[in-house]
Amino acid sequence: MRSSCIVVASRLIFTGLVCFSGADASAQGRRKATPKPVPPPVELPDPSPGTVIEAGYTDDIEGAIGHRLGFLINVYAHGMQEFIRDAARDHAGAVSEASMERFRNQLMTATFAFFEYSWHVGGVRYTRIYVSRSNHDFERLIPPGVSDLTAPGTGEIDYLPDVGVFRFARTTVAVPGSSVLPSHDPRANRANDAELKILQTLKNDIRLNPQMAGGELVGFVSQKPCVSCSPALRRFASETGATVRVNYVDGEYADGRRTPLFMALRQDRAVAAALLVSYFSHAP
Amino acid sequence: MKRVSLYACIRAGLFAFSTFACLPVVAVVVGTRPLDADPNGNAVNALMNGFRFYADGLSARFIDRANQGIAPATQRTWRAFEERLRGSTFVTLFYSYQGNDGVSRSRTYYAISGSRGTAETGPESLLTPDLSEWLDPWPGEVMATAQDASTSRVPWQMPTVRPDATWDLQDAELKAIRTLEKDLQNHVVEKAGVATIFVSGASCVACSQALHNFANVYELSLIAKENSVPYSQTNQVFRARQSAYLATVRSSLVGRERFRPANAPPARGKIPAMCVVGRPVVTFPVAIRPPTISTLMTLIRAYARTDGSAAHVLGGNAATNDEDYARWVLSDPSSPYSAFADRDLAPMSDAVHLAAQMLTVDGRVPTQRELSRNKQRELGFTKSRPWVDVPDIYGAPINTYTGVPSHTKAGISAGTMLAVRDMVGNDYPAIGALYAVAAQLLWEKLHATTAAEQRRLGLRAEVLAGMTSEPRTRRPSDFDRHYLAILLDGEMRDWNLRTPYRPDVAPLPVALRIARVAAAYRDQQPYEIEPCLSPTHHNPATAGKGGTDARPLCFNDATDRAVYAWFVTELRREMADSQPSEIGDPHRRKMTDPFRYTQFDQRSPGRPALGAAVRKEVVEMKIVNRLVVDGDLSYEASQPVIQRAVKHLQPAKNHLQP
Repeated sequence: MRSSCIVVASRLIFTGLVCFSGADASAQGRRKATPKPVPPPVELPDPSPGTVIEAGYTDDIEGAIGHRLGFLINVYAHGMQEFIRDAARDHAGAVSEASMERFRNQLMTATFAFFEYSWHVGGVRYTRIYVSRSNHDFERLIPPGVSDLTAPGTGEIDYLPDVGVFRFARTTVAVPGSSVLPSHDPRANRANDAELKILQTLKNDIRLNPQMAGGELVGFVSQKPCVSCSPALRRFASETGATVRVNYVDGEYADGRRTPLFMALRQDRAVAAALLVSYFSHAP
Repeated sequence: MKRVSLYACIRAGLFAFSTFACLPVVAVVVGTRPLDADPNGNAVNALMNGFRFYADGLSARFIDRANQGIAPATQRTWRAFEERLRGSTFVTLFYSYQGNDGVSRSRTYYAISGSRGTAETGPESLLTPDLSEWLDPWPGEVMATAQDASTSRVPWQMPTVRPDATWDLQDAELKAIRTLEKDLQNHVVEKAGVATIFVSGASCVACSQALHNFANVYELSLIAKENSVPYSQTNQVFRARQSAYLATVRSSLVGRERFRPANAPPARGKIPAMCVVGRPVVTFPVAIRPPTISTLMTLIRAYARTDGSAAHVLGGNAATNDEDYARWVLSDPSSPYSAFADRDLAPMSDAVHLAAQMLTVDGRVPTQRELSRNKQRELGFTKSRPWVDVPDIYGAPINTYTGVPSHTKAGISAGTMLAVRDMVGNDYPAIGALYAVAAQLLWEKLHATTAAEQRRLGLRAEVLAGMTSEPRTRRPSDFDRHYLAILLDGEMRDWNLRTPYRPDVAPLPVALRIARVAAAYRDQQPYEIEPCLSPTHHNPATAGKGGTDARPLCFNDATDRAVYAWFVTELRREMADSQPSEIGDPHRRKMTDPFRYTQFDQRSPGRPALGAAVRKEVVEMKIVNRLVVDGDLSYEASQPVIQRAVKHLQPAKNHLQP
């Protein structure tokens, strides 16, 4: 008796809700889109701080940070140049200012990360370099409808160095069973962060070659690791037993925050960007 | 039973003896140790603590007194101030002891040496009685002062016959121990502790004697660590940081419009006086970079500070392009062996005056002619003739070997040269030069940093050890070569003249060092026809003339930039894919691959032109970039300079036209 009353009442409420929402939709003259189910933020383990050292530098010491990041910026600038050249091949060679600006903007603002991972096997030290930048691949910098560039069918990875000790972490690849994942951030998609791409690529390498575990990771990043990358670094250290140190450029283009190291890197970016733009506008 | 009792009595006796007999005995240890390597940076930190304890306060007082008109800040007064801080001895004394309550405690005493003035004049004015008001000691830190109390048990024994002996009490070591002595007598601290004294220079005989007396009288262990080895790592790092500190203070004073009071008269048209508004811009940690030794950079910096812009390099009266400047410097700029043209210099401008002041060394201001010669040297217009352009650092018979002058001028150690030649082989002088200069730069960087910093920053000593250690503990890996390639690539993007590993070798830009090392390697190989008549002169009949002339240059008699042009051609030849080699192509690929994505590889169109690296416009761009970093120029002011240089860096042709 009591259960049948509850069932009837719930049906009435459900019917009322359906009628009310249908009336509202018809009153506005359109059909209301069904909202996509939003997955709840993943609760990722966050090991205690201290397993990772993040050190901000306002000035460079013997070029240790600037030289690595400057090299990386120029490698990407060169890759962009080759990519644009191929993308413009079928368009009489002209590249619009708007298209150039999209690539130039990447060089000026993207986060660049250069990590060195060392491990020992049989008393011999091995070191590998992992590099990446934030944001999307080159292909995504040619939006649909652009008339002066056509994606050449090759990927970003085809334009970056293919040398033994280098690993270009291009896209995020979640490693099975690993919690080295981006944290939920309502303000930005953290899956394309440079540090995360590197950590996941490295984690995958360690999964395939367990001898690499327990090594030493020294990173150089063009800005402070974000709220998503910091815990990811700690989780990486916890999962792999590695010691992790990240030296990042402390500063920004704002009054009182233009630190020497930040400005040095900005000048490197400006020269690389000027060379890139000049290549497509320089008369012989 | 009796035996057991006997043993027990003996044990008790021994225990009692060891307990009561040892208690009053306190080990007095007195030792002196020169500070050499400083792997963790502890010694340098201790010395810098002592230096900054006083320098922070004295700098602030210097500026405030100038603002109040008590002591104007001029070039002369600044120089005196700077020399005073450089020449003083700083002492940091850590005293750790056990208090009466059994708790371990410590106290730190900082001392600065005073002037050895006469008894009539007294000590100098810098250490005025109000000094303590400017210092900022933390809890447990004490400013040590001269103590001449009659209760002192640390007599001043030497020298007793000098008229200025009274003022020897101004020695920093004596101030530190006499202040500690006062605290011991007043029971602020307890006896029988351990005193560790860091001295920024070598202790004098009288001070050493006083330290021994002090340790014996107060029954404590005392270790004096003296920064007395001239080229030790501790000394190099400490002096570099001291210089960086003073440069930071000075750069906040000299000729900067932004620091000028609103009601001050305009500075243009005259040498800017030091403008002193606000406190010196010294934050912790102090800038690590030592002040530049580049004349070219200092000149452009002086113009930037005078003009407030980059107008000097873009359109000022002295602005010229590379070709114009070469015509002005050389009598025959088309020849690699050209002599200098005899030119009169324009009247010294205010900016040049300022630059000369900024390059003052030990009170000596360089002349305009010296500035001009240094500038020409940095831009590659000097040669490598033994006894004329480069010093004879090896002596006979080595100094007569071909290749030695170029090697000497490049400032590369002989061990590095040999190790790299073993690694790369004789067939690739240009590639070998890249590795040799990279290894030398790594050595210089390692020498300028502590081991702890090296670990933190990824400055890898093991890479150098893999190349140069004897016996070889490991072979250079792929990573090692890439590491060196990236290091060299970064150094080429900067304009950073480094202090050479030998003080008698003048500094040279990285690009020219590479060219000279390549020439040295090439000179070690035989020539079909000898291009030189003598170590200092080329043979006009057989020596190459550069450009399309494929004959070898006489490197000693050729200008650095002519040698650099040869190096670029030679590097392209060595890095070409179809290079036949006696030791096989895989080896060459292994050596060249690390440089494939650096500016040394020319195969990809659009890669910055290596040949333009020594052009005046490109060098000026690198310097202007540095000035932006240092806050002497704005980012916007640098853009036209970058655009001008890019025209020379970008290849003249490409596939696409707008």
